[in-house]
Amino acid sequence: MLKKIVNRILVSIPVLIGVVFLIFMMLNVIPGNPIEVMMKEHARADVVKRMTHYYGLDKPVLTQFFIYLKNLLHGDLGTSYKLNRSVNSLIADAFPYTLKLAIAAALVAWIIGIPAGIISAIKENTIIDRLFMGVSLLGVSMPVFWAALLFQYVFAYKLGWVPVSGADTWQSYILPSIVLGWSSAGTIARLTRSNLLEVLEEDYIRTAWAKGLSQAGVIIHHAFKNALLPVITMMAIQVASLLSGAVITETVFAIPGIGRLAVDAITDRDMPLLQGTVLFTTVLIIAGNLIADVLYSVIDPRIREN
Amino acid sequence: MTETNTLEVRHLVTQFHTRKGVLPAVDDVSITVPKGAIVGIVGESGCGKSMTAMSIMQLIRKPGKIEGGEILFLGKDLLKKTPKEMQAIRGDRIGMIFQEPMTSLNPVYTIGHQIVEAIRIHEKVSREDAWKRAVGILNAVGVPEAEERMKAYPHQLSGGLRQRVMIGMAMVCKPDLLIADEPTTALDVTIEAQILALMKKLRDDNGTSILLITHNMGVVAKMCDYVYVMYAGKVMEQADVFELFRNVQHPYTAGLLRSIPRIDNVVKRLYSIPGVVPNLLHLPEGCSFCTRCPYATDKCMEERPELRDIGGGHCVRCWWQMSELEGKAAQAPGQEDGAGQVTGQESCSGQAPEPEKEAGQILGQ
Repeated sequence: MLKKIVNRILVSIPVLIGVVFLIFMMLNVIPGNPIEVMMKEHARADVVKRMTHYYGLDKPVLTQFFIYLKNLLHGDLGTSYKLNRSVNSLIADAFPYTLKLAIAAALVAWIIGIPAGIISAIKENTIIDRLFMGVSLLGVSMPVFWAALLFQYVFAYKLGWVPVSGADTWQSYILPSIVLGWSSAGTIARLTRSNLLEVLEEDYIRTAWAKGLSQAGVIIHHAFKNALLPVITMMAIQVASLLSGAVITETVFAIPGIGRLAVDAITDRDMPLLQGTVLFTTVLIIAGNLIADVLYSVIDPRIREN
Repeated sequence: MTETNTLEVRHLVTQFHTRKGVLPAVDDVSITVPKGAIVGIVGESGCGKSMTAMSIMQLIRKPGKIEGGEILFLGKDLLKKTPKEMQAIRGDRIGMIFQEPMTSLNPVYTIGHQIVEAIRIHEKVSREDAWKRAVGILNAVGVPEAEERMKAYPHQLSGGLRQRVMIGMAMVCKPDLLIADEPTTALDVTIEAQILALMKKLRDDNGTSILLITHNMGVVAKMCDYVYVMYAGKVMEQADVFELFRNVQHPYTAGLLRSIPRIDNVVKRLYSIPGVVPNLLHLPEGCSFCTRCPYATDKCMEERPELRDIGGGHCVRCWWQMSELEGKAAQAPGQEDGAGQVTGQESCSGQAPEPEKEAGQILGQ
């Protein structure tokens, strides 16, 4: 088991290097000198030149890449052009906000999504099922920015129950976590339902009934654990993407998290910051998948052995 | 109801209400399983034999529904039990095993966990005691290294072992009735023989009655005391096993018997009953077998025969006597390939009078 995990981590390293390379190259092929863009038209040519040299942007791209990679191996993500602070510290400052939002949103998604999926599967094709699936579909398909604005208008502006935006109090996290959680909950509910319905057709479920188990026993003990596998993958990926910053939600609700950081970096052509946030996201997604795989093995003995 | 019968199914009707109409999956079926007997239900796929078993367990799922009849188990009607009472009976007083040993055990739990669960659903015993009993039953059903196997997952065992585990799990509460739904169909013949021998031994040791569902006449001959032959949801023929094989009366049963390969009768091709089980939505007006019966007459197509007793508990749902049919067949012109002839007494039974056969096919369409 441990060997398998170590193996997976080792396999992730080339993936990471590849990702770093791709991000680096893609950001570098964008035309224009980022220093010029940043300093706008007021910049004097010699200042731009000096700054460009200062940040090493006049070196060949490959050389730049290897310098970046070398710094990266020392744990240094570089310095933000715009803010003149280390990217490491910027991410470290932003991450707690994103973490809080991600945990809240994931809790909303799981606490609502999984039971809703189970109930829908048990009550297949009844009004309850249709209602739950309708609400899920709405959550999945409604654009987040629109839901966010709608919620802000109704619950913050009209009713005044919660703050419109910001991240100062725990109440400010209520709306964004519901907005984010709703769409994740919708995905999880639909996935849970369809997997559970599939598993309920299995022969071993018939065996469970024939043993004299109650409906709750059959579903919770025998069906749910088998139906959970794909749901766990989904949950791990969702958490990873939530942790890497909900770009739109953080922007709309003015939460200074990773997502906001990335958006600012794009607007400012702040390459090191943008690379840093994208890389951070990549690591989280890889870690999320790794955790999903480990959980898979814990649940399913057949996977454990292969 | 006498105390000598473990199970008496009377006039059971189970239907499936589909959008296209009502499917009579089990149509007025009556079956008796005496105490300690092995009773077979035999028939092709889709004849309603599994549905009969699932009806007894009340595990029919929507859109299926038991519409009528009685299922007297130890004298009490199961159809009058509440779902809770039925739960207490399933797995405790009535055990069930299935055709697919490879998929009938939950892949994410160990064998031991699943047997212990079967015990602890019905009896208040400690985990340790249940574990010991589970090891005991695995030994009894011939699982080698039972202690070790308890910790194994289903995918680590062979099909034969898994079916032994299933039987052990079904027998662990010492049920009065074991329903075995094609228990050996998915297994190869040597394992089949072992599993059948095991079931017989369990019957002999514990006095458990067994309702054995199969499509294999060879299994019936080896195992059963009494046999019901089902077709399209109905019992076509029923008799003591020796009587049935000696004195087959229904053309369908005769067809099933002819479909067994025999070592002493070399043929080019094995006989198979022509056609398929009819769509239950569009059953013929008359006898449900008339579309495939080599002897079908106008009467067979127009009027539905009832199950009639021809003596000695031998009942048959056919307008004719086998001896009459054979006489008719002997006069028929033209000879099919005489493949798969089983017994001397029905040596010419493969052919039908031509016009009638055509009529049957037209009706079948």
